[in-house]
Amino acid sequence: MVLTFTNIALALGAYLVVVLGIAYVAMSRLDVTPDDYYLAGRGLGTLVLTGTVLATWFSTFAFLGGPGTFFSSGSGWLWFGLFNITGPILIWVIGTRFWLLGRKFGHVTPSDLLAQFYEGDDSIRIIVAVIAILALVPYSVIQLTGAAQALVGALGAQQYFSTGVLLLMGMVALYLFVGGLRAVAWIDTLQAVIFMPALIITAAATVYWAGGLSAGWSATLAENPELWTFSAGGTGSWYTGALVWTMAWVFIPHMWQRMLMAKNPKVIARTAAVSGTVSLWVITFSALLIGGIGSSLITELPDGTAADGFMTILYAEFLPVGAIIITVAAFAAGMSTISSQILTTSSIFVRDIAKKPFKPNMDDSKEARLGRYFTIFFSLVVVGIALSPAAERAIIPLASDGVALALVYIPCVLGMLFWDEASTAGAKWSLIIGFVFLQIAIWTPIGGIFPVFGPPVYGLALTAVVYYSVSKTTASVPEERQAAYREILIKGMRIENPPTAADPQPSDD
Amino acid sequence: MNTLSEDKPFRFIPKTAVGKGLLGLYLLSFVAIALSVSGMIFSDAKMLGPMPEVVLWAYFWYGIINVVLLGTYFYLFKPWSEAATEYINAGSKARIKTQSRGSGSGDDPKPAADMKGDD
Repeated sequence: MVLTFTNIALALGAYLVVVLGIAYVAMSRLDVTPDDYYLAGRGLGTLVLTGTVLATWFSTFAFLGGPGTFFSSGSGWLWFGLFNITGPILIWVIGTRFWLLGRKFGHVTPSDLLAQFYEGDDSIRIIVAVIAILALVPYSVIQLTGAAQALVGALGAQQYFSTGVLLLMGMVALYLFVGGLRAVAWIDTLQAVIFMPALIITAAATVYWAGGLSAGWSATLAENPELWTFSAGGTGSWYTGALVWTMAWVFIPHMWQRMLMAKNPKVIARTAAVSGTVSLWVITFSALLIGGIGSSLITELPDGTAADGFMTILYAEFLPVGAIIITVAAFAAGMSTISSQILTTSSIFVRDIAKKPFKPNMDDSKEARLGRYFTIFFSLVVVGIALSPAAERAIIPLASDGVALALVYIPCVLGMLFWDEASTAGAKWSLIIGFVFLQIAIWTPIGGIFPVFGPPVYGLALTAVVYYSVSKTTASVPEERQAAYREILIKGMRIENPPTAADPQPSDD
Repeated sequence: MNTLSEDKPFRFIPKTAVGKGLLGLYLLSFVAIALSVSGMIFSDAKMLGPMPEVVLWAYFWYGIINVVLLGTYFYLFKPWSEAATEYINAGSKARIKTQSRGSGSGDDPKPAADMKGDD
């Protein structure tokens, strides 16, 4: 029998050897400066930045949750394609500005940017940092549970869930501890190279097993017609999902930091264009074929398995050796995302909670050492949650809850960039009230009372109202401080030459 | 309130035919997708060519948005990235020049991210 735990463990072991080799090379090129440890020296080119964005973006969330959710929810998951292709536009609108300001002022974390603008207020630094860390907890947990579900799906036994969680975390800890974010970025690229072909091949195999595209979809519609229709009303969750991910994605701390890693503006512009296109046509479309057409091939999940393990369940049925490869790819997807999330939370904790407010003179090597200790602590917390009943929810809703927290950054970031009445008090109170509201709405039954849309939409609206009204009634950020930011934005966002001779000059006034 | 409001040249939507066209196509795509999601058009569980109509309709408009994305890149962001690179490089060169003319200490000014807010 091909599909045994031993065979899967051997395949994972072989993959780990490759990953550790990369981490070793990365370590040999690593300085101890925070820029190098957390931002890969701010020197990533288009290929590596695109690889790390895709690998981070398409974690187990897209690799396992995508096919699984198309399987269980059908067209209810089509909003993910809208996010794929709209999200990158926000890289240009927001991410480019993060990059410019980050390059000029040396920002490493979201708190650096916001706290500096809002009068160096340490309470804002800490609030932003706490929200960032908490936003990443559910998203980190799903990397572990998703990979573990893939293992469970391949072996058909729930008993392997905890083994999967511990195995993935152990692998990540090994290469993360030695290599920093340069290793993560390089390994992300390798992992993107692994799981994208895995998705494409699986999609092609699914179509083949179903007897062709038309035959497969016809069988799907016959089997589950209710999943592939839209009706009047009841679509609030569709819009909520699209809004939360499109708007909040670039504000998720580990994606925010990726905006700072680009070597130059061309890299960030190209990465946005390529990652959006690839994600729509390769990743989400493959997931659509796998989960959609696959639902006519596997009509009922085996006992003890979850929809998130659908890909390995499909392979276990039709091509068992493929389930081993998919399990390795699922681990690769999970590893790439959780490693960058752990490093991001580490940088945020060290710089924004431990160093800047309390020990501003902490030297770089001590900062890097404290960061490593925090990665161990955060990893243990995430493993603990992954093994608890709190992590029993499916990948997608759990991740969305975490991402929704990043929505509370939007008003104070937009105010910082575009509004000269932005005030420090407005930023502080909007962050606090928005965060508390979303925590209550997401994690308690109160979240169920909101009509049409999910709690994140109301949370964003409330945060915006608080920010606007408090800013209107309190003192604005001093003009001198605004001018320092605005000068960079005015000069750095200007387009000097028209795109073509025939076109009029784009207005930038 | 301060007086910065006249310095706002950071809009991203150019007031040109191409800029308006890209924005219009983008908004049209949203409306078309919303009509389907709201159950008005192309929303039934039936085939349209080789795929369910909800899938084909959604992906058609996603494809249009993809064209907008790439058009925006070539029209707006590629030129921007070239201008921004020049801006960043000019800043770096000026800093190096200042350091070489200075007392010889060559220290960079402290990054603003490390500044405490005391003003």
